[in-house]
Amino acid sequence: MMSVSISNVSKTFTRKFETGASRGTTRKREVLTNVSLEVGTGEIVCLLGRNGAGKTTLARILSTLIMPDEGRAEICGYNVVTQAREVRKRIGVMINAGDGGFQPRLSGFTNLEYYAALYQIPLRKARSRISALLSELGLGDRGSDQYQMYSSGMRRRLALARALLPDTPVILLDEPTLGVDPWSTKQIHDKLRAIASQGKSILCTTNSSAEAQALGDRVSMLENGTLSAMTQTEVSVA
Amino acid sequence: MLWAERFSVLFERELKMRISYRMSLILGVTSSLSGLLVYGLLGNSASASITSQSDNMSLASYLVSGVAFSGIIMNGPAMFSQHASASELEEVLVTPTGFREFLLSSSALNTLTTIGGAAGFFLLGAFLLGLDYSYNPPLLVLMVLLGLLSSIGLGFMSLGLRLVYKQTSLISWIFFSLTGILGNMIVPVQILPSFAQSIAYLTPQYYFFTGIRMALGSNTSSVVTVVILFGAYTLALLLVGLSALSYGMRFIRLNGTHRWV
Repeated sequence: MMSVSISNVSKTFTRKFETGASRGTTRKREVLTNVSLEVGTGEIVCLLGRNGAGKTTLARILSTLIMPDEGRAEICGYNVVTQAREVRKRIGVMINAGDGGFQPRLSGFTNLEYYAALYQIPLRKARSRISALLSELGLGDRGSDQYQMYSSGMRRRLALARALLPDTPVILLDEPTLGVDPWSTKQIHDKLRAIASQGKSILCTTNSSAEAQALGDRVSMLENGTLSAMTQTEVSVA
Repeated sequence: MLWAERFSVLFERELKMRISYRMSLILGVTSSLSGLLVYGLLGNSASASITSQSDNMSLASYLVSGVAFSGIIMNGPAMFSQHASASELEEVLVTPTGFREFLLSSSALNTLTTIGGAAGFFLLGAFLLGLDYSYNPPLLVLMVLLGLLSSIGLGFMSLGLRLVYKQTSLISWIFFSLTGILGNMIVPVQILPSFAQSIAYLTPQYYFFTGIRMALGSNTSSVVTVVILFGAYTLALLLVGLSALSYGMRFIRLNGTHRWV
């Protein structure tokens, strides 16, 4: 059984204009068209694509945040639409590019403690896990600082720590190294490879071919809503 | 993980956030207290009042009880709005914790401070203005409880609408403007024109504030009717609120948290 299985998924967004010259008109935008993809146990698959290619939409579908119009998506055999609660027990997610639900006046540690509670991790276990993750991601000495004191790269690393917190078999990452310096990027890649070697499956979206090449066991290109597999040579020239 | 442990973490987080905004806290308490005293002093200046007959209490007692307990039911529409920003919503929805449990646990501190604030402001107002009340504690507790449940129903309803329409100005306007006048909070229903009285009887606030006045005054002639009607109203608000929230959740899963992604 594949950890992540996506079969012929399509998604169209409809927008009804309520102001301006186009008022009253409706515009449809097909974001994903018959997308199929699989991620095996212990595998890292990178989803490469430009801004607006549909990478985040696909990650959101797998995270149970939005429903596909057509097709089927499963995490560890559970359907993301009809078995959303089971899916949520099996995914760690890093999805937001913004401040992603962190409270600016609370420390990084306290913010993670809150999400550990939502991931239903016992408090004692959560605290030791948070300390370990912060150290591994280079935030060990900044855990007690307020979130608003963090740089953008540190914020991304904290968001990654949140995704890794529940220790799930599948990890979904939407542009995890956006705004992160090269040294920290390498640190994150090393951490993700170590996690994958423990049998976790990782699906990572990125708009950087260098990142896809450095991190992915396999790379797929998402363009105009359709997906195609890429060879290492194709990735290197992308 | 035990539900209680999860609740304590969420509660503690809210407490830390609230404490971090000290100035807002001080200004909020000060403005609430000054508003209460303004109404109380204004009421004290009235030599005769319709509330003496209808609620068996002076106008000052009527106004202070209305203003002090208003937070319990008037906060309803905004009860969960702070927990529904697009980014936080998504981060919560990808966890195994149920959304309703998250909302209720996160707003528990808000609920407790609302009850504490109502009791504190009421007792302080009564003490500072030397007001007399006839207390019926079981009825008061029952009305506060029903008021809170109504607020939760209104909060669910408001959040459901917000998820779909991205704003709740209509429900807030109805609540704060229209029913602020018609809800028996600071304007006795008896002095309203008959058509306005008819509308007043349709608002949950009317039953809440009437019940509170019955618990604090000695006019309890129709207490059973008020409690039954308000109980039924509360149940209806909870059911409608839960349906609206479910609809809103389904809407955002179909359309994305934002209408256009």
